[in-house]
Amino acid sequence: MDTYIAMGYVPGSNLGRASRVKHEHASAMAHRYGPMIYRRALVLLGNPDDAQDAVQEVLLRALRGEAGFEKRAQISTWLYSITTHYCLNLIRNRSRQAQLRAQHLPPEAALKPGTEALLTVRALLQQAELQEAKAVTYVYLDGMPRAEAAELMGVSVRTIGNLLHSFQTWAREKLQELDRSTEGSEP
Amino acid sequence: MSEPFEAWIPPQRQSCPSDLQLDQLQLQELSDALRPGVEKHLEGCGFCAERWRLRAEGAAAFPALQLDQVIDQLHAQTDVRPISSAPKKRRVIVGAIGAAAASLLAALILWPSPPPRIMTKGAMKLRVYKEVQGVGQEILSGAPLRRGDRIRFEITPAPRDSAHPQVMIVSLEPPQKLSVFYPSSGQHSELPAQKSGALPGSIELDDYLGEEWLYLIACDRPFALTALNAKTLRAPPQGCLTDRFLLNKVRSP
Repeated sequence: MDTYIAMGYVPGSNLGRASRVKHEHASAMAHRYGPMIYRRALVLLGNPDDAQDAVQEVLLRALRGEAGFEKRAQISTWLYSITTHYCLNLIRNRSRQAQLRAQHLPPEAALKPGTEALLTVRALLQQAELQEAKAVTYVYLDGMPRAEAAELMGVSVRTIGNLLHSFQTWAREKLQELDRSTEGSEP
Repeated sequence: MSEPFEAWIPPQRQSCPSDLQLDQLQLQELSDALRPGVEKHLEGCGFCAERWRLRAEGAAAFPALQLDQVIDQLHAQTDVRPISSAPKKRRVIVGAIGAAAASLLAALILWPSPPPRIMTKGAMKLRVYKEVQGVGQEILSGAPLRRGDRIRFEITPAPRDSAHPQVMIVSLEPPQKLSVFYPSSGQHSELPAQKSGALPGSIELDDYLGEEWLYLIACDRPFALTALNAKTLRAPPQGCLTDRFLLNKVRSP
């Protein structure tokens, strides 16, 4: 399975067989990793349709051997990282914060932190730098130890600390702005 | 919101395995070094036992997840076999696209032709190229694009090989706002009879930020713009194929 993903497509003249193998491989990948990707995307995006789109996009990238998949890496680690990247890009570029707030939350209550915190994090992630957003997602949303987040992002633990610190400084200002605008809008 | 950001992590999770570790345990991909500790934790943590139960259920834990639909799309979109990754840098003059897409500007630019490809029957793929220093580079769905970037479309297989020559590229914004990206007439168009599936015209992105799904609709017969909606784009009628691409516009640094 690893080799197949790393190579992308099976070369050869027997296209019928290759296509059949590809289809079987795609089905196997979807059944094996689909729930993990969906769960991950649902927590970050909060919308079942978007989460399903994420499953499709991430698996498509995997099947095409894109985005620097390393044969040595565990597939789950790679897919988790790609899913996070995909979802954060989606979140960060959403133009309407209100749309986020109105969206459904994942039904698995045990999988998510407090609703208010989650919405706040999502709102902040919309505007945060991508690397900071990833560190925040792994550590604050996933509850991942910094060492694990560092390994996943391919950086040092110290860098994770720096990214979180930088995010905190920026986020505090943003939240204060939000508080001020909320107070100002109250009658 | 002035409390430490660590407070966002529920207390019960601070000593628990991460989601990734649990997923890897369930997939039997967790490293030997970590597995014993995680398994031991599961024995004594009710919170994680519930997290584990959800994983053990697999897709059944998510009634909204339509895996069959995902698999169908994967089959359709992976029926492509690139035979060359090196694009020929033949420069061609492309025409200007009209003002059909309200958020876009038309432009005349020089552009190289995309690489040749061989397609299996039944799949139509929308490919997007971005101009980088005068050269068109294919970009992935969801890759960040910025104001001023010039993009161009290619439909594969090449028109002469296609059983679905009537094409249109549109974007769909919730709930039902359709914008036509190609052709500039705003109506379906028969693909030009040329070897390459590259469409004439390039588009310069404007200030609008955010993501936008582009849909390729390719049919074996003429169709009307009014026939398109969210439902038909996701599940095309008989005789039509669709593909989509996430246009992801981010702020310039």
